[in-house]
Amino acid sequence: MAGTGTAHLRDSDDVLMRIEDLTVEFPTSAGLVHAVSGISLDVRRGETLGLVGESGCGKSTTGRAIMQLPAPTSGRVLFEGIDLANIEGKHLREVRTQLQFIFQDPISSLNPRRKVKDIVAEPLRIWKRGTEKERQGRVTEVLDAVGLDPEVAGEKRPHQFSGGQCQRISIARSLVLEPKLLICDEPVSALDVSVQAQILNLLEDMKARYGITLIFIAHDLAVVKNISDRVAVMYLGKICEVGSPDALYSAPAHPYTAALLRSIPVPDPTVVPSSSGLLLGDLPSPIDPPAGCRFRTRCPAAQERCSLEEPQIRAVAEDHFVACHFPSIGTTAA
Amino acid sequence: MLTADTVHDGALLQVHDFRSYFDTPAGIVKAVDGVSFTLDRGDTLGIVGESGSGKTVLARSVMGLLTGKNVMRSGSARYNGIELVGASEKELRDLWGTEMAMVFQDPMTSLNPVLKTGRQITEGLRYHLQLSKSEARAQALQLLDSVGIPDPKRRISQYPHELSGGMRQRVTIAIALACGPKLLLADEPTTALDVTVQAQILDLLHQQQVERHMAMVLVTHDLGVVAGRTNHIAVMYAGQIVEYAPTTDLFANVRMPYTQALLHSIPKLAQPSHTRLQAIAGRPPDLINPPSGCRFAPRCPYVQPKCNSEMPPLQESETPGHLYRCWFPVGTEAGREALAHNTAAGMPAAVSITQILADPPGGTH
Amino acid sequence: MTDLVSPPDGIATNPPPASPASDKKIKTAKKTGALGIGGWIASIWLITLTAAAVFAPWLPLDDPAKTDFSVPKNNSSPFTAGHLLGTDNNGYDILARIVWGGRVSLVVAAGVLIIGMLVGGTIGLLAGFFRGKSETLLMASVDVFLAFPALILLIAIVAFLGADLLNVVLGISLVSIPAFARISRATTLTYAQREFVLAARAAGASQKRILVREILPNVILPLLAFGLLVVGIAIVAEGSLAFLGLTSTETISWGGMINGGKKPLQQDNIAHTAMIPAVTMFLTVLAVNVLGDRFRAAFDVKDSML
Repeated sequence: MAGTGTAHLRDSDDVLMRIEDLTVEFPTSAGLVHAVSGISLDVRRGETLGLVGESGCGKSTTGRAIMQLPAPTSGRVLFEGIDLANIEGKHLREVRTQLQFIFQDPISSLNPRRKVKDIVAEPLRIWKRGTEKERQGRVTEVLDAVGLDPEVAGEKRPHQFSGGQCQRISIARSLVLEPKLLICDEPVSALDVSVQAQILNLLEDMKARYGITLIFIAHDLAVVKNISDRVAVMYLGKICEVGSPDALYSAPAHPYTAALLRSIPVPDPTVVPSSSGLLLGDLPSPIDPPAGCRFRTRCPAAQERCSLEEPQIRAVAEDHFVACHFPSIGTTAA
Repeated sequence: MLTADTVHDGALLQVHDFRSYFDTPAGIVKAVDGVSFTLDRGDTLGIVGESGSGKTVLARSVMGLLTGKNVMRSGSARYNGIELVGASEKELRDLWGTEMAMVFQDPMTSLNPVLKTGRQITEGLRYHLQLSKSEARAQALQLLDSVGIPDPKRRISQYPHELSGGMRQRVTIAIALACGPKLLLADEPTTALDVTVQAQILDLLHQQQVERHMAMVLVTHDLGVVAGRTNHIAVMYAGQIVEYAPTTDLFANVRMPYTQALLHSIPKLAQPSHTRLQAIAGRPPDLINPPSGCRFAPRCPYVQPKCNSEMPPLQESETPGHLYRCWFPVGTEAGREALAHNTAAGMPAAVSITQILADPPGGTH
Repeated sequence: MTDLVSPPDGIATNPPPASPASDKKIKTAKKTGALGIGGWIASIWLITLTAAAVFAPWLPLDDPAKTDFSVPKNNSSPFTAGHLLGTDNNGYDILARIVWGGRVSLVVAAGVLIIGMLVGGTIGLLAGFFRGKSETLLMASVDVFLAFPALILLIAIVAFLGADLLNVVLGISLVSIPAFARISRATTLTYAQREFVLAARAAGASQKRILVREILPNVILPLLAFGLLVVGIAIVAEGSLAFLGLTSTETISWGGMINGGKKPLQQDNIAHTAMIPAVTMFLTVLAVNVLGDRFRAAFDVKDSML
């Protein structure tokens, strides 16, 4: 079967994480949900990969499958060359500490019955890192780094904080084990815009300070552009387009990316919203996705070939890849 | 007298010094604290603010939808000359649905999960307009068709959970429009939806509004949503309107430092990656004991001693109809001096906004 | 209560930590609000009752099993000399029997809380956390148990094992297990789906650690609140068994006292022998329920503040 291809993967020593042909399926009472269907991605050390798409595109499932929470149905997740699917038990738990997660709902991701300093220290206690005093020092350091007063914040419980502050606590907890890769799943979508800016700036600062690599999952294209070095657009469990943000946003090659960009309301009254080029209809069911190209049922450029043959990812420009037979830039697929 | 308060013929909704307080165990929360605006027939007013600014409370309590014993409303809200503050439940009920209607944020919770969509639309038609069963059904089919639901005959006998999120929001809009209201309050109508669906719904609301010559209040946290779709915008902060202006003028000549900060905190598509965002440090004030001066003062890059002691009134700028609540407004000599003073003193918020103003990062602002 | 509207849209009802004055305000509001007057009265009643029951042998009370022949006639009313609450038709001191009977209720309450909550709670916790086959198996066995009518099951247990107090406690505890298991499983399910559990897993925590440190503290408090409600039911259940004469007559219990007061009430129109233990039981169950309710409300508030 046509996967989505691997043309966009890079052969280089500094690739920290490489995902090959990742597939995640869930059995439900209505049938097998094809949440993620054979996607491949890679992230270089120190890079931020933005994963963007609408709800149901499989972006969050991808993030969790990377962590093996739960493990993917098939495919390889290579972290520094180690296939996470092949290791188990304590070894997996140990490797996984180098990958950390930040969730969308900052409140649900903190245990309401524990004090902040215990929440942040928990990963250190699990791995019995250092003495209790050293652990406290480390907790103080990360709380300070994320902009919270360790003396005051440490003794409180999560419900005494605002959403933005809870997200800072989450970030502190994820940093305490000095991970190499941070997977952020919609970390700012539950926050107000002013707080969103604080958290985005904080993530950039933490990246610079601790040299971490980020996978940033979000539905907001502007947010993803702001933070990413490379962007992958997903639709219904597949990757549509991968490229550098500036190229991808200024000249989207995939009709879906183009439609997404057109849908975003611009905070500028001189730009009159036009209803032309907007997507019609709804997302097809992931239980019975369309054959061929999965976007063809809503695609303004769809032709017969799209229902017969699944497009493979291929380069249309320097560091710009697309899975479409008839992209708006480059040539029609051979 | 201020423009927003003056009476004129086209006014459909006139809100004057409106307050909505909540009595809670912790104290009295001044959720809406002295708000005035006028909405003309067929016009769209955008109410923008962050969570806790009071925008949702304003929309709901103007309509009289918050009826708890611990809700205290005062001031005046006149719909078509009828005073809504202090009106009885019965008087309000005659207005709800037929004169004013509401679209909520989450179509999953605003629709009744155990009733078919058809029944939920026809209920209002039969109650308010006294239509027969078959007339109501015909009307419902037509409504579903007009809100862009394909195959209305099939959809009318489906339950909400059988519909997608966008489809559900179309149904809630159909319910709101059923009895031909003159005023539609849309409270974050697209926040729960994906961006491509959001565009569809905003288009639908706009199209219906034009067709029916209906006034609309669009409550949202997203400045992008209101920019292209409203005539006026009211920016709310800590229970007050801090800036009120015709939409184009608001974006072109921002006066209120809060509005300016909000605009600069949004990442924009036109900016290159890794553009440093202007975050607003701190958090909104406690609405039980709000500061006696300007409520934005503790977070404001333009703040001066006067701001902490005296609450600025809503005053009009040189553009008629553009009101703001600030002693040192953006784009004026006083504002420039205040910012320069704070920048020289090394206040971080002032320094970063000065940098952004000096060197706009690729954006339109 | 239901008439109160909380301000929507995340209005800052809990003020920012920067304002100590309003922080204090919330605390004082909580202090009176958490228990309320009813809660305080309930607590005082239960504490008095418990203390009296525990220290019964050292209290200046009559022997509850000794007939006072000095009273002119049995069933003397309350406030007669030497008998604050009067005597019953055997000439026993009612106050002493109420206090000693309270011991039975106390044992029943403790037994249900310890056995029912421990066993049922653990079953629910494991079922809710591990899901899958173990859940099906555990919950199916609990369901089978639940399918028996509780009272018939109780009677069967008592009849089969004998009617001493231990068996009664065991029987009532056993019957309460399914309810605890269900509540515990439901609570575990909601918390197991929260992302802080996923976060702990991502930090490398073992299953056991997640269960004990992340989930248990969240489950135990609602379970305890529910436990108080079950205690009320259990006290009534023991009373019913005693009233039906299914427990040992040697044991002094409120249910037994009500049973004993049945005859004077019906034949001689003497109410106090039955009414005093009945009112005591009623007040106790009411107090336990009020406290359980307050307890649960306190946690609901905390959850809604999140």
